[in-house]
Amino acid sequence: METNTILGMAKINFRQSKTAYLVSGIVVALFMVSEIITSLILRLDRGEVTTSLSCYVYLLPLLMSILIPAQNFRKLMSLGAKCLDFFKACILNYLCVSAAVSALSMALMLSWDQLIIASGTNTLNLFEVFGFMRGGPLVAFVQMTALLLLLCCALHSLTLAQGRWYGYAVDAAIIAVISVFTPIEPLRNAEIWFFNLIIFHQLAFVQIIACLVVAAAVYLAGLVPLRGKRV
Amino acid sequence: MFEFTQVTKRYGKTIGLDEFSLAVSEPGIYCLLGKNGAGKTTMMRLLAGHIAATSGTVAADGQLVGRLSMPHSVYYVESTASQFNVRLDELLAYAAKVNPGFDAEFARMMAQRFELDFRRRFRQLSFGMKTMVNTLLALASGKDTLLLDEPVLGFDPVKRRTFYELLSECCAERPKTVLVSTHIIDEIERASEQLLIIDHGQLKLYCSMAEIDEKAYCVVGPASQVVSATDGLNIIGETTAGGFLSRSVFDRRVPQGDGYAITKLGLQDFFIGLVGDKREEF
Repeated sequence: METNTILGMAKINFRQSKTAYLVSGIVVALFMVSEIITSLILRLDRGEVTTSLSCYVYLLPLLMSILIPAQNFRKLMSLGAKCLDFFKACILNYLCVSAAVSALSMALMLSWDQLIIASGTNTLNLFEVFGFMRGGPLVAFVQMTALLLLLCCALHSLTLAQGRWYGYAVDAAIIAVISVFTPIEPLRNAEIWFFNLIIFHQLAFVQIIACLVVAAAVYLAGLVPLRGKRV
Repeated sequence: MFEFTQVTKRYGKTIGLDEFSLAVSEPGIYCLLGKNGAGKTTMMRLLAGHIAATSGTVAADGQLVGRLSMPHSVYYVESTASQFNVRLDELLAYAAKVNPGFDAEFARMMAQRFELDFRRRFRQLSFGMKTMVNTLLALASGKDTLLLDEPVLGFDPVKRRTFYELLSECCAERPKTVLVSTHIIDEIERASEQLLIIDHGQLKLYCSMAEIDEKAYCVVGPASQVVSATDGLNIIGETTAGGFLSRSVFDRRVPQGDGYAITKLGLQDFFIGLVGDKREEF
């Protein structure tokens, strides 16, 4: 019974993410049109490398993980949902959207990008930038899914925490990490170590496990703001 | 059903509930009365797990209630609650997904009785209609405990009557505990079986409506005779006009006398007498 409720809530979250679909769709469509005109029709020389269309689809999970807690939470509660069910439903949403977007991104890289490359322009896609393609498309897909899931969990928890003192404290801490850690070498090394672990690690399974563990920790931390979030 | 034990809820320096204790074990329609800011909504939100108590415990069906352990048997809705901006039929489908026991057939029947248009989106509805939708979702939720906060806000008199009919039908079909908080007291009086009055965050009164009918009355007549007839009784209100005195009593019945009359005390007057100003002079 509880499983049905959680699945039902996840379905509602998907149906009520129209803003995320719309914004991501517009961005992808605009970029696609631009690519068609510049690379395929006019065959303009835009330099050696252009951003891959596959990069723009990542906008969808990121937007969803902000909009679901910001817009859907109170409305689901008004329908009689429970906080913990919402918590469980959201992780299902993020897992599905991360996997779907990762697959779509991979498909775009293997199809659309090849058209662009054939027209004489090289493309820059995150699978290759992050070195995920080392283990082949399937491993790359899992690696990207894990990374997207981590980002979704982080944004979800951050969104829930906004409006509370600890939310602002975390915002300030993130800004501090970016601006203060980078110029100081030992701190920069810690930052590099962390990003190596969750993105650039040579061993795919280490990167996947690291992403999943950090995602779980960050998502569980989201229970704190969820407990205090106004219904 | 549910129990509050020494519950205090503070909002900064303001106290919502103050050492509040209450145990409800019988299903039925409970009328929840209190002045603005008395703690009615706080009590309902605590029971639904929408807010956490500062101290004390709230339990529903033997389980402690908290933000992460909201009771599955309790449905709370504010009349002004915001819903997804979808067509009403889609909203009912959403409600069925979230509430496993949702009675879609009853919801449709109610929507028809309220003359709600299934094709209209939530934001296209008038204020009263939005309240109707929220009330309808609660009544059809299939939960054992329904907490209705101002469920008839913005309803016209005809719709209010329909609501009370539906409420009675809903409870007759399957016994449940319905807590109705409203300021339209005279109408809820006819539908409810039990009365709860909250004042300044504390439980002022918890009794059956039959007890109110029996014990709450008004003695009117020349001041001296009314004073002697009601001597030693629990006087909850007094009005003087010239040499005449009207006393609202909540106590054992006094015998009919020649010099004074005994009249029924309406629930609204009873409530005002109990929590409002004690004395009025004209």
